Amino acid sequence: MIKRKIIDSFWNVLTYLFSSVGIIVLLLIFIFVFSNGASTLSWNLITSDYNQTTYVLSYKDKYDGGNFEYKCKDDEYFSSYWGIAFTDTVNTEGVDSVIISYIDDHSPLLNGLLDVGNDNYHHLQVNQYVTTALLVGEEGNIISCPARKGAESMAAGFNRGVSITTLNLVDGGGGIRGSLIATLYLILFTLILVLPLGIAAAIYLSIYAKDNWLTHLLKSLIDMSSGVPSIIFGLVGLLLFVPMFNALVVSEGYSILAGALTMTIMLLPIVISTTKEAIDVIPKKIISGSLALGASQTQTTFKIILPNAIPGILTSTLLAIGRIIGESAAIIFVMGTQVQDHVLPNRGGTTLATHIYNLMGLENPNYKLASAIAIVILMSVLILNILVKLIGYRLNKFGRKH
Amino acid sequence: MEKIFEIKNVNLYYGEKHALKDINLDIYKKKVTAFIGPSGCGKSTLLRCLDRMNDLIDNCKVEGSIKYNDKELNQYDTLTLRSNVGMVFQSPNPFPMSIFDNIAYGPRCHGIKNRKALEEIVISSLKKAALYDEVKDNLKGSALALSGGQQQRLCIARCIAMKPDVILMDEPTSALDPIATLKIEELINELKKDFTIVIVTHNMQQATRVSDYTAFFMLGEIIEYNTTNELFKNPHNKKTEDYITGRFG
Repeated sequence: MIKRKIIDSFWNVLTYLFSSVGIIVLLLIFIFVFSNGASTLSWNLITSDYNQTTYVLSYKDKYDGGNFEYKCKDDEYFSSYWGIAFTDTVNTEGVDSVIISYIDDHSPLLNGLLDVGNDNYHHLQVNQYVTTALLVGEEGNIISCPARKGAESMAAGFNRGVSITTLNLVDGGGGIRGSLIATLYLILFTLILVLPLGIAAAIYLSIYAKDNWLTHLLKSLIDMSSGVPSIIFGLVGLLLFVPMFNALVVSEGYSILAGALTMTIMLLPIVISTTKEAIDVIPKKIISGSLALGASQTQTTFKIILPNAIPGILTSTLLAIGRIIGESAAIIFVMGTQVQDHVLPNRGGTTLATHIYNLMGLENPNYKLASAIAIVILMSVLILNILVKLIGYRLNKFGRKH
Repeated sequence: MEKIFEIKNVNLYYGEKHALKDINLDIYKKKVTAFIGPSGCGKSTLLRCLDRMNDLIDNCKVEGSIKYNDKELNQYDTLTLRSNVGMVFQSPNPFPMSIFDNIAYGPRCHGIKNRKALEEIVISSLKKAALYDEVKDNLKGSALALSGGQQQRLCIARCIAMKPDVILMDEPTSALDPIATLKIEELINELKKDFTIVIVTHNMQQATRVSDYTAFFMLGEIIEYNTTNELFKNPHNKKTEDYITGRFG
């Protein structure tokens, strides 16, 4: 008796252990991604451009100095001479840098800095990064303030300088706004293409198609194509859709449109099978009830079948969006890996997933930014999955008592 | 007596299976005809022939002649035919929409869009199906929230809304409790003033209670067809007698 209990509990413990492996691994991924990316993740990251804008500015005239006052926060260092405050920070690429955290309304730097490149006055803004500053002191000595020495020495240097020879500024950079927009474009175009095609195919297969070998072949081909590796779809896109759009003179080389077509053929099997399942669970007696009332097959399809399949269609839409967000292999081939800030449908670009690929392919792989993007992707996929569950729950609540 | 359906030498095959054998039967106008018989004897199959619902089954083949109002059934357009010959199914099958929309569904499919006209049809159909008093305050509510018996009467009302000549009922009470069954039976007695009714039933008491004529089926053949009174009191065939006395089947 006792022996059996021991054996039973041994197997039980083993079962629990093995079944928890999946959850533990998932948890570890989350912990890894969050610990690496959480510090980089910010609203600024989402809204700013990937490519930096750099400015070389100068303030040639001798400035007599003001006596600005500002109540510094803990990590801020203020130059009362110029009326500007600096803070130590880490930029979106994960490098220690100095950021302008406050400018006094009467500071000469606000609108008085001359852009060396185009001789225009530059409007200095908070949240721009300072890479280096070269100032001239009272006695004509050069004061150099590189960002790596920190905000404290930067503020001290500014207090001693009376004019600025060069001020190197970096605006934005390392952001994912472009990739985010490209992802949204890709989702939009793909859904516009894949939903009508997929729903029509599902309606044909579950309602109109005769039960013969051709239909069976079609169904098994559709099931099979959902198992094709996505890189093969990427290849098809590269060899077929990219030249096609180029020939139509809407694009040169990679384009989001070609990406959308590639994703369409890749997602069709999923949309077809999910929609078909949703149609197949509609009770036959309701469909024959409609036909017995003298409604035509088309009326039955549009008034009974489609409205009842909408939860299933929504589920397939969300699944498709999830796949688009997560897809990388097929996208790299047809949309390229060059991160774009000005996204156009007929040009290449990166989605969030291929943005990570791009970052990790750089000379210095940027783990922090990659992890931050991974958080964005994981969160969107998580939210989509919750939505799928909620819709499935509503589907059960809505009517189906059969 | 006026015949509405004239069924002559009908044979029906599901693929290889010979489901109906040489059926000859006349169905009379404004009467209730009951089909009885053991399961799988072909009574529902014959019923579905009458509004050509068998057309929907892929490998089903019908031979012989069925005349509806002296015209071959095959010459009718199925949509017209099915709006003249309504059908009520074994288990209630309301559409997952409101009570109003359920009943207005048929008329809408046939092109009636006027809200007032639809409202009149819905109310008069519900009244004829003896459901109006129970649902009049809740016409916008979901049809699926009704009880089984109410759902079945809703399906009858939905049928009536098409203003048919004939109502086919395929074991309409088999999924209902005795009280709901009683209500449907009362309704059938009421409806036969206006409609021809053909009802398939497993319940012989039900056949005696509601029908004027009864056909007894066995293994795809009609064994006996007569007035209900005669068939149950004086069965001419031994098999009929065995079945209705419960010695068999």
